[in-house]
Amino acid sequence: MLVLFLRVILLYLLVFVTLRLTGKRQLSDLQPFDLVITLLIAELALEPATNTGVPLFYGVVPILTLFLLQNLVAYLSLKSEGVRKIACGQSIVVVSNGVVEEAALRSSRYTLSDLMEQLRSKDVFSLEDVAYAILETNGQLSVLLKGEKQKPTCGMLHIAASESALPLMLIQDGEVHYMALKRAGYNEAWLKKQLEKAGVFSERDVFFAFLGGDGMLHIQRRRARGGDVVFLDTKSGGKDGKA
Amino acid sequence: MNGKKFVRANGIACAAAAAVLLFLFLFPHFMMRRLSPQLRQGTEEAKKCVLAEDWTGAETEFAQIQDAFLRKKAFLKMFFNHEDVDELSVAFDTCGAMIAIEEPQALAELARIGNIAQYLYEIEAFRWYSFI
Repeated sequence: MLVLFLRVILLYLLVFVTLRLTGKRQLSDLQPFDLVITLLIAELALEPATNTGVPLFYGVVPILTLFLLQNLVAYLSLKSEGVRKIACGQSIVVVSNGVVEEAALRSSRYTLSDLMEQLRSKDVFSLEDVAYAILETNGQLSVLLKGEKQKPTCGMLHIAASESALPLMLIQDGEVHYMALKRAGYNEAWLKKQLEKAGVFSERDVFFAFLGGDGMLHIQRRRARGGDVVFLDTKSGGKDGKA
Repeated sequence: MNGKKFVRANGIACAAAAAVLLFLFLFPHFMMRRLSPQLRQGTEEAKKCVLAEDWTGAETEFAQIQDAFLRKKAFLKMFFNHEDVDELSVAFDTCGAMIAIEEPQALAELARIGNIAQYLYEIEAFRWYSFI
């Protein structure tokens, strides 16, 4: 049993590292060759993990082979348009100026029901609102609404938009994220001062401290320390408050 | 992990994967290339001795090939299905017992040892029909 336990751990680590090195992609965004690799790797790891009569290398060799293959296809896709078309396919315009491209739908094996479902998931309930809809290679639908149906922007309304900064998690589970703090342009002393303003005297008492793009610092204490939430405006002259 | 570090880690992982695969392609193949003919030749010699009722000779030949197998048994289990290696191990034990009691049926077990040795070699040999 101990052998089984150790084999599962080893294969889990191997599969984990292999999939981790395929890059930051969510399951829904996988290209076809990524999806094939992901599904195959899981299956291939199963037999040697559960059957001690099968050498561990019978799982290691296929997984490493798929890993190298995936890297090769990814590399060739980057370097060659032709390979990219074969490996990933091409995006297809399925709606053009409110008109559904029947041939495009048929060639993608995409039904009208699928199209309407995807549009509804993007809060589009009428085809006549759609200027263009493009079926991407990962199966997602990108929608460009007609001008009058688009959400107005600050530029369109001639409103001066506030400058946005990158929102950052400064403290998580009592641990200070120094890289994020540095990126925000602040130091530990500044953070300590903000925490004191919020009535917190140790970062270990903080569940999280999140600095929004608008400069609002959202601090939540751990449940054991009361669990209360405080909002601090780190830009001068703002309103501070408790939730 | 930032972009550069990720690319470097990926590169190192690819190189390590290629090195491991190359080792796994070559090592078992060369091991069986040495062991399989040794076992088959040894079984043939032992068969001749059994047919000639030279039981002492058969025992000597058999002991040599059994020793060669036992030295490689752990490695064999690393690279081949344990069932196949265990089958070979059982064949050796049975054959050894039969030679000890001067049983002519030992010929069948010697043939079995030779077949399994050939089979293990064929698994690692690159043959076009292995693809299909």
